[in-house]
Amino acid sequence: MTIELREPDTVMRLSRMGAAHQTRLSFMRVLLRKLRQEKWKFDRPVWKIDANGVGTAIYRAIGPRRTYSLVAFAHDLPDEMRSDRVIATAWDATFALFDGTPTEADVERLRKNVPLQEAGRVSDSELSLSRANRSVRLWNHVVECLAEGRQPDREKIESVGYLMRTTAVYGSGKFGAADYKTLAGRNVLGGPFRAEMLAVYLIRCFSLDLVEHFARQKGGSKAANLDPDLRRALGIGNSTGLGMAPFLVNHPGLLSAWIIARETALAKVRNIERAAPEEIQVFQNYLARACALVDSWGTSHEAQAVRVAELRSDLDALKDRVANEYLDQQKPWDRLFRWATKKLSVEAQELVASLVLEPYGELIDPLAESMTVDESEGFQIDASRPLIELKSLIEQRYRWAQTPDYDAPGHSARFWYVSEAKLEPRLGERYDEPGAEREQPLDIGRRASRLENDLRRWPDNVSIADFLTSHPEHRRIIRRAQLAQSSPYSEIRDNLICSELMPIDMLRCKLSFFGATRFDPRSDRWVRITMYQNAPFPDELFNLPEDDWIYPDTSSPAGRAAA
Amino acid sequence: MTGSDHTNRRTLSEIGSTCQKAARGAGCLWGLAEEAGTAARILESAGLPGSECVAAILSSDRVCPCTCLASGPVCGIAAAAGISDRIQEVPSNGSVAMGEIVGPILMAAPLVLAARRTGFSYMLSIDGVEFRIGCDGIEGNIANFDFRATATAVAVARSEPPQRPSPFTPNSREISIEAWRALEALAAETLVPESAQSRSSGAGPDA
Repeated sequence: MTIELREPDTVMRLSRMGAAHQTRLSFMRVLLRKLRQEKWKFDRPVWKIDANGVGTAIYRAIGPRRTYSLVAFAHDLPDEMRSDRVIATAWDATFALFDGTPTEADVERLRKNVPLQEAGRVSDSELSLSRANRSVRLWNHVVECLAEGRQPDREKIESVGYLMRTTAVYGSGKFGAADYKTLAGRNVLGGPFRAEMLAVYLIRCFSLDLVEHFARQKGGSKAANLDPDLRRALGIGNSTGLGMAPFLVNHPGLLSAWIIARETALAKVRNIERAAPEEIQVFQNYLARACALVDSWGTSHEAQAVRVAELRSDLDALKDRVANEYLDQQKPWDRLFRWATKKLSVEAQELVASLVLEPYGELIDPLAESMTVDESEGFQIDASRPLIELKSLIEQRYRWAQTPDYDAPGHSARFWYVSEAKLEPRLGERYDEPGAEREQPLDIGRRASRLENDLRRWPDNVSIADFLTSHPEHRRIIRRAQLAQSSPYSEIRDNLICSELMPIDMLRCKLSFFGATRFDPRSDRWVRITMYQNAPFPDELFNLPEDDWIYPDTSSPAGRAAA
Repeated sequence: MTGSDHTNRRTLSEIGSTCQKAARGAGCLWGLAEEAGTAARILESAGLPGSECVAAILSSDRVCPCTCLASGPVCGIAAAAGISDRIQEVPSNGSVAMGEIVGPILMAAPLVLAARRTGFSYMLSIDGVEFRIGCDGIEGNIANFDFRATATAVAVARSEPPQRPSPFTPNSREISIEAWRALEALAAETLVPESAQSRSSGAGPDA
């Protein structure tokens, strides 16, 4: 019997989306695989940073057909101005990813605009705009140690995980940057968020070069460079808040494409009849390394700390389970996954769903090419169809939306809005705060329920066009419903305006597709993560095994320390 | 750009998003506001002033599900949604005639989407000026065409594919500053001012 994809009613619940982990299909991993496969070269043609750490640097990624350049501006930021908030006016460093090699005139143009971030403008030649601040505690420690000619404390590096954290990485037409369609068809940057991921990868290089520059300024000739193992243990941090949450709702076709790719990968592996010994060995190896990563996963968020503790205990149970030739039997990965579904926490189930993909790169990795969609294709409503089809669609795809009583305060407690002061999405309390009349349309369940109620009063053979003439207020949800017909994972199957909503679940789902690790929620509305921790630097990309970095290498000193 | 640079280039993403918000700020239902944003984006990508057209529509008296007017010219956004919904009713020979419409060029956008979906090409005729619309672009003599005007005779028909269409490009576009300001002012109507409660609720690093 062929194992099918998991049902949307299972996968698209926020409690599970909020337990998602990175996989082989996550964008950072796909990007680094492609850079390696296409033998991209990297250089740093400009490093004009002065003794105070102020100036300009350019990092280039040079491929067979295209070159991309990170133009970095380093600033002297007083401590009191350093803020993780997206609304800020100054940063330790600001960046643009340039499409090609910039001329001096381009750099001058960027110098006038990039440090201003949202208050400046970039152009069609720029693919992303971003900024980062230092993690002051770790930064100062690393500078002090290197300046004195010694290596910094491994535990401190492990516990923080980055020297700089980004507070925004804008792409896709924001503030003048090139529209996402510009990148369509490009081999390396043609997939979702690849330009942003390349920018962050190069920002990581910059953060390490800058910290060594500071150490040299302070320590002179006795300053040391950072040990390569320690260097690799430093990724880039990121703080992500509510601004990211509406993305998954506003891009239903894209969300469905991402989930289909991941679920197809899982189904393919679950359908494997027998696992070869070397495949089992790869899984066992990754399981051990995943344990090391989870052991180093610190969080002060009470609920997440409980989940991580439970995950540790579940991973012990998993290790026991896969010992003693358990995986030598028929359909081993399906057996394992079914067992995990019955016995382990959702957090652990989703980690198993990621881990079983690791031995099967050849089978899985091509699915990354299916994670881009042309959103205009699903935009036009086919209004010639009779209402009976729409009724059936609502019944099949939006049954979950009929359960809540949206008139009850708890089921409509919240409203999404865009703040005038911050120009960012926010979540308000409908019955305590003003502004609900300007609500953003993220109340998908309520809209589907209202549509269903109105449809009941209409005959089956009337066309959607005629229905819309009388009910234009249902236009948005009908568009989504028709899209859901071909994109079964397009909707989060939970009430996004209820009092129990945890927005960090939406953030975690998206960030897991980026390839983030070590989710550290700071409230129910924002989360800190690490990106590219343990990833090879450009000069190591071809010397280290391909796509083998997401979990710490337990055979390296850094990995042993974490294990 | 900053300072002395007085151009007003906007990306297609900014155009789509601002026109959608402006339509919503002007009172459009969300589904129709989406039509406005998408239509402006498609027209601008074909080199036509979709943003100015949306700005003109939103500042005009018009009959629309979102306004209380019972008579007068039809809203171009509603007309675009209407032709989108009735595209199958455009006969292979003959045309669908429509009356007075504010900003009828917006109807070209759903015809582009329909052309991509069905493979047919379409003719949009606006007071005698003809636009041929296919999956590869839009063709029409726009030299003396006023995109902001209300048309009295609009018709849609199937047609031969355009011969030399202006192709779709993803590049940013120069937008009239006046129209852009009008759109931004309307878009601001979708924003919620801070309150004592919102200040205290916080949102983490974005707060």
